[in-house]
Amino acid sequence: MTFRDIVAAVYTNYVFRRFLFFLLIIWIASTAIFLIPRLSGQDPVKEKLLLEAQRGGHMQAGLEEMAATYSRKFGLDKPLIVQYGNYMADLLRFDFGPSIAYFPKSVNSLIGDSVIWTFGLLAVCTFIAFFVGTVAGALLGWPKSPNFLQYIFMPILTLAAIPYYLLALVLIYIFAFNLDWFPLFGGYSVATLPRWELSFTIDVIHHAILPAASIVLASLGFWALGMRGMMVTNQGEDFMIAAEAKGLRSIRLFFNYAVRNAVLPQTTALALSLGTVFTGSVLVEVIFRYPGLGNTLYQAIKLNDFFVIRGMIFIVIVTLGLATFIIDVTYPLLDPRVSYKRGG
Amino acid sequence: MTTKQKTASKKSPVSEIGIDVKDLKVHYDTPDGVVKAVDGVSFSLRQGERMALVGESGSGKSTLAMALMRLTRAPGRIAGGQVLVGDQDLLDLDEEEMRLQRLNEVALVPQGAMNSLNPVMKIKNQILDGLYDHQVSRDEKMSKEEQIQVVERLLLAVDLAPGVAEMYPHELSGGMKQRVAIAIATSMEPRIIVADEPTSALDVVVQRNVMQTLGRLQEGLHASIILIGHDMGLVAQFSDHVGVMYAGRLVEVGPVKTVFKSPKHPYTRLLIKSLPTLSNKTDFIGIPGLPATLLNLPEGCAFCLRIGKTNPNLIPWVKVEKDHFIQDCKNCASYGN
Amino acid sequence: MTTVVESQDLTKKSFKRRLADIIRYIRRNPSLGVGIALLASLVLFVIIGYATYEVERFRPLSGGPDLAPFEFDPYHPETRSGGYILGTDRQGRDVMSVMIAGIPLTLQIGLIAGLIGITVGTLLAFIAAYYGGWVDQIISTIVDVGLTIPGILILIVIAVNIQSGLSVQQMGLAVSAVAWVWPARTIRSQVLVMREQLYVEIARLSGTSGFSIMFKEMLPNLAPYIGASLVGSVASAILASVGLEALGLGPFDSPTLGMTIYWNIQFSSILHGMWWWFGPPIVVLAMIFVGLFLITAGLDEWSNPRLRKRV
Repeated sequence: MTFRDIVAAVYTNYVFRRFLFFLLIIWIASTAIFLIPRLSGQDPVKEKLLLEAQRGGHMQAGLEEMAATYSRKFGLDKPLIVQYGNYMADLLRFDFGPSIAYFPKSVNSLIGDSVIWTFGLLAVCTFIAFFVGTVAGALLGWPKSPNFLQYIFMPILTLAAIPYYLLALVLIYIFAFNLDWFPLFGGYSVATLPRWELSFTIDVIHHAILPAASIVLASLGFWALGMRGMMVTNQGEDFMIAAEAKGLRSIRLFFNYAVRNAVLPQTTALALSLGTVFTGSVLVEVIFRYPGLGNTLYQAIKLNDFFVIRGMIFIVIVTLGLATFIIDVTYPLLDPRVSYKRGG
Repeated sequence: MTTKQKTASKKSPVSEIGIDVKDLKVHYDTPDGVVKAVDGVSFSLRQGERMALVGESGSGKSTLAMALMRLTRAPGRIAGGQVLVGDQDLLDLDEEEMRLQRLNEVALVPQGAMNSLNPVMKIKNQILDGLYDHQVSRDEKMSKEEQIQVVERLLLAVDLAPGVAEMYPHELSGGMKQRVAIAIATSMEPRIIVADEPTSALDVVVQRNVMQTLGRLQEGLHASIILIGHDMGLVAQFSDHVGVMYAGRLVEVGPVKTVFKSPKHPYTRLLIKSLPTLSNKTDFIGIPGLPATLLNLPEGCAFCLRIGKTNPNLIPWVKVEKDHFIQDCKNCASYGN
Repeated sequence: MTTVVESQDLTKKSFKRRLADIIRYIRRNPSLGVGIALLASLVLFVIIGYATYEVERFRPLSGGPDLAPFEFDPYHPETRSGGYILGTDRQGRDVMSVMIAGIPLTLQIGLIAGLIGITVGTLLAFIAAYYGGWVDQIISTIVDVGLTIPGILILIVIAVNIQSGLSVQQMGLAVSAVAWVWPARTIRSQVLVMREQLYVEIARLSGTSGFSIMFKEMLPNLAPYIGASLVGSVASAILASVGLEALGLGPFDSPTLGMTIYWNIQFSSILHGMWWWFGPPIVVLAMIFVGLFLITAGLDEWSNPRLRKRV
């Protein structure tokens, strides 16, 4: 086996190719984040610092230290390519610098405080929405389903079209403001302290229900429509007709033939939609003042805290890329036609 | 009913009728009117015999095949008639009873050009699931060894290696896939096999081999076979009887030799003449006009409409000789003679 | 004289018949009809609004703050004793005026971004499919990466860096920076499918040049599909722009629907029970999104007969 053969073998390896793609995503995204501020000709950090300096006050002491850190760190006098190298090196070490607004708190600790909330909320919601939506879509696209199911089609269609945050506003008004069933905002009651206790857990779940409902309801329609479309398309496929000619039980036709095949594109769509789910959830968090990444990002935007914005975006893109990578790599287990060996 | 008993009951005298189709009608309801895709087709076939149905595309052959399996899909519906298999009218059964008849009594070998196998299931499971779903009670559940044996036996019968059982459809060639389809169709030793263009899109050598396998299995099972096809040469070689369809109607039925030697219906004549032969290389003779549109087709002789003759409203179904029938239309009978 | 009348009669008839055909089609394809009706009613609302209402009151301090519909305005006791149809917001904007002025602004952002996105996307798709090879590889990879990175994150970086604040047109341009990705991907695969079709093959064999095949043979045939994609692009552009605005990255002096949502979140209108303030933008945005979504679904059905006639 020559070196060339090895290179070829590694390159045609499916997992390796997906991993290269994952790295490419991170590289392109971080380069875009680096370039955009420089293209705009303005320097948000400098301006923020100037603004704070004009205001004076309590931040004055930290500010000079910070300005020094800032120019040392980024070596703004150095050529662009050196700046770029330093920037990439920092990213690789997951060092995003200090928060401007909450100096000397680091960007990492700000993200660390909020990431668990978003992750918990989104992981659970995505799973529920994907599962319920796919089941609903499968039933909607199955000709032998009971007729009353067609009545849930219009509501699902409407839900699929409405953005998450609009639904959040409606839900908060009805169920928190008018009916008072759920808290208006927050991740847990102000009076309690985060502890690993049953009462606290219940409190957290109580707070999470409305934001979760907004995300689940708004994304459920997407899954249901996609699945229904695939089920309908599959009905016309030759193997469905042949399977029916085999005299199979309806339940087997439904699960092993129709659903089993229709769910494949759903899985690919899952990888692609994670970004959309995250985006949608940002404003839901803002509306519910949920202590997650979305809300932290919103605060950072309001305070023009550029390092936080940049660090957060980088973390989110890495996470999404990783999730996509995992889905891509497990996909051949679902679909025998995609092989690990011969490349995708 | 175990498989063995069933086989015994099938070994009946040759003369026994295998399938008897009476006045079968399949209609499609469209916004512009009713399309009569199959319009009053009748024929019968003895146990163990082979019959081919031929005609241009759109003549209703495939629709008829699907209707025999009762697999007609909306907006199509079976609008009338009888499909007698044994002494049972398939059109009288309820959904569940019909389901149990499929594969067990009537089996389908799907079109060769189709992806008729589930792309994400191993071949062995696609063979076994049909058997499972026809088990009357749970006691009949096969052990692991039995399953392997059954699959191996069925695969060997269609000249496939036992190793194919563990493969997925995308790993098989077109001919192999079609052999698997034949293995599935014969897995419950059906009385009737409906083969809907089983070798279309396969290359000629493979075509021949697949047809030989199908024929051998059918003979072994003493099943009747209804072969849908547009390849007249293949049909002539393979079957005992031939039925010619035009515009949803059967215009001529008879033993292959008689029909080819002395076709009685003008449309059959044209179909046969349009065949390129070795001796007749110079002219390729097509059939004039276009196939009839089936939308709101009037009663009577559809072929007269095609060649521009006046259409008599009533044409009788006439016996020419033993087993040979035609739609006897006086206006066009001599056309192309 | 008579001939003229007759010919007029003829065109009238054919127009009538065409209209009848369209109506008959819409009856078979209700999503298209309902979608168009939803958007048309909004357009009608804006036109009537501009003709009959004082739209200028979308500016802050036009009326007293926090007034419910038809509540007496203590700041303008003589002229506005009857209050305002949809009340006012915390900063004294007339919510009715905000709606009338905001709908066209938001639609404008969507149209700018959608049109640019679809043009760039189509162009890239054709280039990728036409040149194939490494050109296609590069374009496809960039598109795949773009699909994985949430566009709104890139938009946030862009918006944060434009300190001067965006105008409505700049907003549209900014959103178009991410709007081309999805069309590029879907149209490319359509072009690839079409390239294999017989009439393209025939054109190629008969010596037609690649570019004229692309633009004379394939583009017209893809037009319905591109049309459906355009509606989809406009919808996602509006979605992205409203999202950015609600995060506080929009044109602060324009009363777009997204900015209205932003002010609602800023001033916690829900906690004050000001339904007349947060209700209208929610209803209007829902109408826009559902309308565009239904039109896309309807156009899909029109351009893709395979889906037709199935429940």
